[in-house]
Amino acid sequence: MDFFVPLDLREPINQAVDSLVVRYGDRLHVLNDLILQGLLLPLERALRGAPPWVILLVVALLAWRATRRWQVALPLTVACYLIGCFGLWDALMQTLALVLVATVLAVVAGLPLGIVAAHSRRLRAVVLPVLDVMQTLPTFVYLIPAVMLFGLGKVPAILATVVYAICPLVRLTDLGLRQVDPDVQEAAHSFGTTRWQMLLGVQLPLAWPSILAGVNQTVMMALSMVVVASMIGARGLGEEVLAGIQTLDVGRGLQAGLAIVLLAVAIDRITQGFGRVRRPIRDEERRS
Amino acid sequence: MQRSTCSTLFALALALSAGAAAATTSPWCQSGKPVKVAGLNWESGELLTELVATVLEQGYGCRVERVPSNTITIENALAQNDIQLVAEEWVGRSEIWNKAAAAGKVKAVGNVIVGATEGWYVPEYVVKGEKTRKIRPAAPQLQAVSDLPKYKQLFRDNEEPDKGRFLNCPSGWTCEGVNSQKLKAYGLTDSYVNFRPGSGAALDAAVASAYQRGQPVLFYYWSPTALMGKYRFIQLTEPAYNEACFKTLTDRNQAKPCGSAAPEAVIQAGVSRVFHDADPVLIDFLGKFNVPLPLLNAALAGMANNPGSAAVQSRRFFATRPDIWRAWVPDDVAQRIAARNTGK
Amino acid sequence: MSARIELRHVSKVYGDDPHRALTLLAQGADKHQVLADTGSHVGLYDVSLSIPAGGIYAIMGLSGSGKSTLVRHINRLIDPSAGQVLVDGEDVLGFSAARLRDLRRRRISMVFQHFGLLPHRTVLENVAFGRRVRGESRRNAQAAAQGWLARVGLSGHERDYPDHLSGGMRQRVGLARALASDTDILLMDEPFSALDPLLRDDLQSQLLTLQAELGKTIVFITHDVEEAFRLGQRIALLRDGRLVQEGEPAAVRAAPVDDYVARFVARVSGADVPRSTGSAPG
Repeated sequence: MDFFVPLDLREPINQAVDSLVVRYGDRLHVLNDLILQGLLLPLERALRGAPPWVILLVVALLAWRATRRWQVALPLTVACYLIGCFGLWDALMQTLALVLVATVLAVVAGLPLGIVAAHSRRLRAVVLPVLDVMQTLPTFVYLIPAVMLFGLGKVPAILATVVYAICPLVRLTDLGLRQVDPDVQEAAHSFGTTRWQMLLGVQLPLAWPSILAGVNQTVMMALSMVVVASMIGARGLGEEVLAGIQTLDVGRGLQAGLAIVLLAVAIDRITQGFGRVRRPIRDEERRS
Repeated sequence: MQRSTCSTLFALALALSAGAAAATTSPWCQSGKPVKVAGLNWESGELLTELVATVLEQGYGCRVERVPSNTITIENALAQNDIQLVAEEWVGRSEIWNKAAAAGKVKAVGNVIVGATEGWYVPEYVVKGEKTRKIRPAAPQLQAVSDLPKYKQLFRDNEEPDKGRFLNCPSGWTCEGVNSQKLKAYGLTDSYVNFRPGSGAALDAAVASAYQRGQPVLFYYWSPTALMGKYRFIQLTEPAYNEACFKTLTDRNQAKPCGSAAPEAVIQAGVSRVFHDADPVLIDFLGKFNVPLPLLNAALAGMANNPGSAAVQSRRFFATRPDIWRAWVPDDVAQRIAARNTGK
Repeated sequence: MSARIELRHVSKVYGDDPHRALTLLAQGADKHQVLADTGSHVGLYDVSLSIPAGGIYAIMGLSGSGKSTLVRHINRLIDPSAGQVLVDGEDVLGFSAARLRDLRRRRISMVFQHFGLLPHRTVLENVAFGRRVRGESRRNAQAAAQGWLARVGLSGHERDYPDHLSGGMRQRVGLARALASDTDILLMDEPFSALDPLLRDDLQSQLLTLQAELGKTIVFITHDVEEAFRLGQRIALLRDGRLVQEGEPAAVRAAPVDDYVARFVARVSGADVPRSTGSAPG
C-alpha cells in the first residue's frame, strides 16, 4: 500500500481546458479582438505614431506634475530618451501600451473588487485568498491555457498580466477603505449621505493614497510580466530580452533589460509622486 | 566537499564493478568524467535524450548530467566540448553547426530518426473541409507557399489586421532563422507577419487551440511530434530542395535568399570532437541508436497526454521493446539494462 | 408644549443576545453583572426623555454613562435594542431608508466631539457638505456656507483645509456645517470637550449668542457639569446607562435625587452659574 493515495488532476483539468476551448474559444477570440481593436491597437498606434519628442515632453510634464521637482523630472525624461538611443523606442512604445492597457483593466476590475472586499467581510474572505493564489501560481501555468483560449499574442499576455498584477491593487484598496477615519464617516452619515455619496465623496478620496500605492505596485508587477508575456508572443521590450537570451546575444538581452528597468523607474516615480500629493495632510491629521 | 568525495567513490565503485565484469566499458565514463547531455526542450528531443541517458547510466555506468537549453546555446556549447552529446541533431540546419562541423569541432553519428519531415503546414480542413465537424473548406485551392498571398485574410493577424499571421518557431530555434529567410524568399514579408510565439509550448497551444476550434492557422511544424500524430495537417509545397538556395536560407544575413524546401532531414546524434575521439565505445552505441518513426510518434502521443513524462515513456520503452534497444549495444551492456528494467 | 423629541424606554445592548441581557436588567441586574453573565455591554437601559422644542437640553454624565449612545439614537446613527424614538411625534424607527436620509438631511444635523471634518475638502466645501448631500447646486450650497462661516467668525478661511486650522476653529467649522443645513434640531456630542478651557468658554458664549437668534432645539451632550448648567434650560443626568435625574437646572440643584447627583452638582454653586444669556423660548 502506498502512503500517498494516488490522485491525478491532470486528465480532468486537460479535459476541462479542451472543452472550454471548443465551447467558448471562438467567443473568447472575439473578446480578444475587442480588447485589441478597441483598446490596445489605437493606443499603440497613437504612441508609436506620435513624434518621440511629444512623448518625452509628456513624460517630463507628468513627472513634474507628480514630483514638483525638476531634479527628478529631468533625469526620468533623459532615461526615456536613452531607451530611444538604444534603438528600442518602438519596442518601448509597444511595451508601454501593453502595460498601460493591463493597468487600466486591472484598475477597472480591481477597484470594485477592493470596494466589495472592504464592505463585506464574507466577500473579503473569498476574494483575497483567490487573489493570493492567482499571484503565487507560476505564471506559465495559466499563460498556456490563456493562449488556448484567447490565441497567441498581446491580449492573452495582457489578461495574464492582469491576473498576476491585480492583487496588490485589490488589497490596498480594501485596506485604504477600511482605514478611513470612522469619525469622518459617521459625520458624513449624519448628514444623510447615500452609499454612493459616502463612497465617492468620502471613502474613496480618503483611501486615495493607499489606492494609488496599489496602482503603483500593479504597474510594477505588470512591467515584470513583460518578459514572461513575450513567451506567448507579445512584442516589445520583453521580446528583445527573450530573443537576446535565446540567441546568446547577451548584449541585446541586457540592453533591453536595462530599458525595462529605466521604464520601471520612470513609471514608479510618477505614480508614487501622484500618491504622495495628499500625504502631508494626513500626517498632520494624525498628529492633532 | 563531502559530496564530491562521495561521488568520486561512487564512480570508483562503479568502475571497479564494471571492470570486474570484464566487459564493455566506456573510457570516458571510466575516467570519472560526467557525460553532459543537452536537455532538449521539444518532445522528441526530450524522449530521445531520456533514452540515451538511460543507456549511458544503466548500461555503461556513466554519470549523466542533463543541461537544459535551446539549440543555439547547445550547439555553441557542443563545439566547445562544454557538453558532449546532443541526442537529436538536425544536421546541416544551422550556421553554428555547419561552421563547427567544418572546423572539425563536432561530429554527427548514426541515424537517430529516419523519415522526419518539416515545413509549413495548415490543418487539413482548411483545404478539404471536415465532414464530422461540418467545416467547409476555406481555401480549396491552397497548395503551395506561392498561393499564400491570396489567403492573407484567411490567416488574418488580429494585431495587424491587414496582414496574415505565420507562426514561426520561437526565436533561438534554428528553424526561426530559416523561416524568416523563407518569408523573404517567397515574397511574403508584406502580406504576412513573422510571428514568433516565444516558446514551443505557446506554438503548440496556438496550433492545438485553432485545430480544436476548426479555425484556419498557418504554421511551421515538423515530425516526429505529438501534434503530427494527433491531428491531420497538410504540408504546403515549396520549391524543390536546392543546395545553393538552402544555404541562403540558413544564413540570416543574406538579404536576398532564394526559396528551397528543406533537404531530407538528417537527424543524427551530435557529439563534440573531444568526446568522439575519446570514447569509441559510446560512439559505437550512438552509431546504432535509432528509434523507428511510428514507435516514436506513438510514444510522443502518450507524452502529450501526460506532459513532462518523457521518463515514464522511456521506462515503458525499455521494459517492453528489448527487440529494438538490444540491437544498440553489446550483450553484456544489454544485460545490465535489462536487469534494471524487468519486473516492476 | 408637546415634545419635539421623545425617547420611550430606550435600551441599547451591545452583544450577541440583547434579549437575555434585557431580561436580566429587568430583573434588577446592573451593567457589570450583565457583562459578567452574558458578555454583553449595556449602553442604555430604559431611558425615557421628553425634549421640548426650542432651547438647549443638556445631557450629562461621565464617560461610559451612555450619553453619546443616547444622542445617536435621535438621528438613528445607532438603533436601539428596545424602545421607541419619536421626532415630532413620528416613530423614526419605522422610517424607510429614504425617509431616514431625509430626516438627517433636513431636520436633524449634528456636531461631533472630534469634529469629523473631511480632510480632503476645504473649509467652505465642508460647510456646504450637508446641502450638497441633499442635492443643492454647488453655487447655492457654497453661498449659504459662506454666510454661516461669517456667522461663526471664520470669513477668510474658506479655502483652507481643516488640518491647517486650530482645534477651536475646526469646531466652529463643524458648527457652521451643522447650522448650514438649516435643520430645526441640532445634536451636539461633547462639541467643546476636546478644546482647552478658555476656548471652550468662548465657544459656549458664541453658541448662546447664536441660539438666542436661532431658537433651535439643541441636544447638548457633555461630561462637564458647569457646561451643562451654563447652557442647559433642562438637564438630564445619566449614570451607567440609566437616567438618574431630569429637570430644570435649579430644580436639580435644589433637590438631587441621590448622593451621586448631589456630589455631581455640588461643584456648581448657584451663584457661579451664569444663566443663559439668550432667553430661549421654551
